[in-house]
Amino acid sequence: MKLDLSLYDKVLENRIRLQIMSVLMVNEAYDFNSLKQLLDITDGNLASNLKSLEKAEYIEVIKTFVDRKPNTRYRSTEKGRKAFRDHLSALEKLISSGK
Amino acid sequence: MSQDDVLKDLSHIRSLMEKSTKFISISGLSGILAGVYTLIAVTFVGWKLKIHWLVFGDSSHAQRLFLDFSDPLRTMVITGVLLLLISVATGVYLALKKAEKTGQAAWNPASRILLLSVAAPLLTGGMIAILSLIKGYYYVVAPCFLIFYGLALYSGSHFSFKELRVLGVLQIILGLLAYGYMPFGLLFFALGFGVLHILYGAIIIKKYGA
Repeated sequence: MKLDLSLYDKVLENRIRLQIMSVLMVNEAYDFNSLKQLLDITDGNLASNLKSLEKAEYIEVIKTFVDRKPNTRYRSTEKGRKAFRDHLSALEKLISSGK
Repeated sequence: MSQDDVLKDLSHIRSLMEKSTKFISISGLSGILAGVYTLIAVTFVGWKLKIHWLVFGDSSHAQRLFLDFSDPLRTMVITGVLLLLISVATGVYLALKKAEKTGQAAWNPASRILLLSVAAPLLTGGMIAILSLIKGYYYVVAPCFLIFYGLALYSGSHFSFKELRVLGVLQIILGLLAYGYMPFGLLFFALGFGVLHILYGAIIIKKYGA
């Protein structure tokens, strides 16, 4: 049987990026430090994965200031949400194909 | 990528979605303690103001009793404010400790949105309580406190334990009953803020651990 992998998303193949997207799917926006704490990863790791998601236009960055300190938050885009849903469908197919 | 990997990823995603939107570090113990404080406070007020809650007269009798006290207002307000402050402090302290233990940040987007969602009904209820006191509608305070507290729990339940929703509805029902039987407002308050909190706390501890 040939697997249909047209929905499989290369950007979301990375586990961290998939996790970031899943958080941004159910939250309007999430800030850098909260994400870091939630995923329990290093600054560098999180930053580089956020960068690739941003480059793929799956997320957008909102920069604001709180008490003059920069506060960076992230929000999923329509394109990103569609990619996430598609990728999950692909994963579901992958699972059901093995049964 | 193996199937097991995929399954593991999917369950991880699910827990992340849950963890990022729900604040589950509310301690069941704080519910029990708040309930116990309440029962102590109500007993104190009852004793101080010589209200015999277990001896129900007809409502006019209770009303007369109630109005006879030299300064029931001050006693009730001071006790009430103290009760709220201590309960909230206990709740916050235990939540911080629980968050530390479970590794969930106490101040995160989930707790922020939880606070925001309970703030509107709580502040509205608080304002009504203060206005009622100023205007001398003392009877309204306990029912309205229960009703708005219940509304706050109900709307907060979307961002925390789903059991909060049931607790909220029960508080609203008790508040409405208290509204209907106003002279017994304190008794309903003891049931709602006291007994229900203890029951709720016990259920949360049993289900999710202390």
